[in-house]
Amino acid sequence: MQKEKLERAQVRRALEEAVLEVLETMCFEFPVAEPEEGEAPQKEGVHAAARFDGSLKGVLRIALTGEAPRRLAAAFLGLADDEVGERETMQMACELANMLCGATMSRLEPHGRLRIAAPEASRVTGACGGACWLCFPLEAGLLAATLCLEEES
Amino acid sequence: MPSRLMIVDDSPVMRAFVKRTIALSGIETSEILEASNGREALEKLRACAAAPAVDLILTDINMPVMDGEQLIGELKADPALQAIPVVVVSTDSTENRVGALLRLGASDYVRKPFPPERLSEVLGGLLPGAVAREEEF
Repeated sequence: MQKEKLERAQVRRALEEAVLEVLETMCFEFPVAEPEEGEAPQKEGVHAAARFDGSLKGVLRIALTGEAPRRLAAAFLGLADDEVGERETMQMACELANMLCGATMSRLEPHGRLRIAAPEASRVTGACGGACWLCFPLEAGLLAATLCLEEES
Repeated sequence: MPSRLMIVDDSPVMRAFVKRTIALSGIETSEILEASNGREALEKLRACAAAPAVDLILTDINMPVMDGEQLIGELKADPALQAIPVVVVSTDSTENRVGALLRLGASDYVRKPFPPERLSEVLGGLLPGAVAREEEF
């Protein structure tokens, strides 16, 4: 039912605005080209997911490829790229998923209720069958994001 | 006079980001305490000999063990801690949530993501004598 409440274009616009806002304000990073819709990135990378419920229920997933995970973590923490380890990179991916989830949902449901569970990150992609990903080319890799809404049980 | 602050967030990188933003803002601090959830924050605050324990608390909302909403409730019910200003820093910025937290006693709300100037502005308004170096941003 909830999927019908939201137009696909509305979700895409909210997600795109959220990604651009988070990249600019927290990581001082700007995409090098316009985002494109596509399938989940196949390249090895860092994957993170933030589950949410409330007015809407689902999961926001992100994938970071190339040097993008380390570069974004370094920018966020004000460190040089080689000062960032695997732990900080994964923690940053979690925080990125968390912020993107909040920023997207506050655009889609500004008057709704939202609860975001603690995000999880790994180097293994999570399943999100048939989802359309929005892919942002960055100088050092790719940031892709998708929002999967689930039916109320 | 340097301020004593506390940051409550389960994300270590977000605590580091907030600490760095405070340092860059030029707000003088004597100490910044950290806690990863509301319960840990209360334990550290109640163990402080100083009064007030800290000059201001920055807290996330969605945290394990004790969330930010419960933390604010506990702080406002404790005569020794209720006067400490609490600033919520969270991704959950739906209008219902923000309104509820302000009614509960939060002094202000900073939605993540936020530009450094926003945090600086809020802290400058709540910490007596704090002057942010805005030109640094």
